[in-house]
Amino acid sequence: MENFVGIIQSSINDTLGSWIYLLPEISLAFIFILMIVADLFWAKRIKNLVAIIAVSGLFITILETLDQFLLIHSSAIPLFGGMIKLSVSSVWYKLLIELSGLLVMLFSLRDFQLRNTEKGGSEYFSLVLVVTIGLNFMVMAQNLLMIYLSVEFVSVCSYILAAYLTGNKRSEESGMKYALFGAVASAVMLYGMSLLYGFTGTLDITSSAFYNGLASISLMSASVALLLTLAGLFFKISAFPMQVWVPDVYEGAPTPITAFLSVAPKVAGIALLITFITAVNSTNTTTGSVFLASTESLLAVVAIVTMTIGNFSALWQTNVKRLMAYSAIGHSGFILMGVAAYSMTGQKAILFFLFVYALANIGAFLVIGYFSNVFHSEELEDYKGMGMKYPLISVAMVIFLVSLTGLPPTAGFVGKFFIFSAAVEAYMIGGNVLLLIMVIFGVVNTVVSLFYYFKIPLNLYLRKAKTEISLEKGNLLFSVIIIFLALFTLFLGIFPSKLMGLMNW
Amino acid sequence: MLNGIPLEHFMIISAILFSAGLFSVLSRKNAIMILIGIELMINAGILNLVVFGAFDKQKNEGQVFALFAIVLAAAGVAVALAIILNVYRQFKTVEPNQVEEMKY
Repeated sequence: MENFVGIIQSSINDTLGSWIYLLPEISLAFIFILMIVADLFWAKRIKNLVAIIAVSGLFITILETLDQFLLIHSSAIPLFGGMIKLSVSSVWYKLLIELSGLLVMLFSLRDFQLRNTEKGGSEYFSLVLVVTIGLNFMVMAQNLLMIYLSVEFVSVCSYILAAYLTGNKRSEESGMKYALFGAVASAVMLYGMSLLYGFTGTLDITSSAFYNGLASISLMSASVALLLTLAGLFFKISAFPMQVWVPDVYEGAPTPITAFLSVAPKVAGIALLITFITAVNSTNTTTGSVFLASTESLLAVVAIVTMTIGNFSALWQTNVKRLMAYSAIGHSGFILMGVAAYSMTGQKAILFFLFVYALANIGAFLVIGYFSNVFHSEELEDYKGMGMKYPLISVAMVIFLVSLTGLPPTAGFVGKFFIFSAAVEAYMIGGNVLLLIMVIFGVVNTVVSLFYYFKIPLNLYLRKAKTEISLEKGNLLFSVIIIFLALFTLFLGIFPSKLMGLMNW
Repeated sequence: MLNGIPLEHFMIISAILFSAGLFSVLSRKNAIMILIGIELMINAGILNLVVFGAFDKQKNEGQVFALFAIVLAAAGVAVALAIILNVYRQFKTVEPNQVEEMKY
């Protein structure tokens, strides 16, 4: 009994000491409650009140997240008895997620589909905020329970967001497909986690018992449990074989949500995947991890298949959102190359690539949203001749697409260059031939991606519009954000060290 | 040994539950039946967690995880059912392969 008092006391002290590090998440939760109350009482009197609270709250949270760089200096801090861990890299990931959340909220403010839905927009903003909380926890999770909780947290809210446009057939269909695929993926992940728990007797993936337990049983049973768990994570980052839901969901969901889903859950999923792979391979023995070679090969193969499927399927698409969905699958493959390389430089390359990808992808979806506000269509056919009518926006679109392809002088080139060099470096050190094959496939896929990305500028500039219709003026807020993102993409392409130099841990 | 029942029996039952759920997900055409299959798969995971948790007397992590998993499964199914209801209003069917507004 005496024993227990000591344990309880220390765990209470640990919990009380941990709160200060959770400031961004706690304030997000408070803003969420505030939004519900505000929606109940004052939403009728003040227009857009909920959206204003959401945007300003998220802005404050970003400042608080920036403040966390001062709070933690070099070493990572385990919080709440090892449930979550705050490190410099996770603060970076959180920052990226919150920034994309902010951009998407500004995007949603002026999206015509969302403005015209019968439900109104107030729940929508609170849901985006909640997804952001879930993603923040996903980045920091260190425990199987926390991983499952945060992944489900994000998934369940994303289903509602994808199906938000009631009365729109496509949105409902995408919501149903997302919910069914997502529920299967998380059920498979839960089964895998239960097996991992049975094999190791612990839920804490960073503890030495976790690795030792897995290494002591036969490789076959350990890989079954690990693969089942990885299936859930692969679903979140839309990697092969869990990528089938992506085209339908991305095409049907409201455009701001497509932009959000293609960036934020992928960022958090990659961070979680890195945590998990690192935990599986962390050992104190001199011989190294028994799983190292097999995880490297697995990730390399998944990366190859994912980017090949994504890029080659995109070639035949005529709907711009569907095209971007396949391009998002292709990009998951590129990011997985960095994860397969699995090194310190690899992790920084991934973070830089994710930043660049988020800028260009949200920018491209903003342009799609801008155009669909103007002429209510997302078909490639209808983009004909628009380059002359909306010159500034079209130039920005070309910059985003060049960046997504990975050509200089945009940031995409630098990002891809870092990823490729990390993979080659890993090949030089480890000598796994699959890594070299992966790099070759990456180069081939970059060339393939050129063909479908350039279908959009081709239609914008070189084809004539069939009919002359009078068009409304575009939205000013969208134009400002689009041009800002395009300039930033160019800036990072010319001075990548401005961002890369900040990423030191 | 848990009350005289060997551990293997629990694991075999949960494996059968999981496979039955996966079979239902892959073979059924009705969205509700797919959801039932998903529930079976989740229950297989929960059963595993509870059984393994019995050996973890000190921290009881398995039982706690099982509680969380039950709650989250309920939340997920509630959302999925609501979406399926909306789909039924639009398409007058709940069979995913007849719901194809978007062309490949």
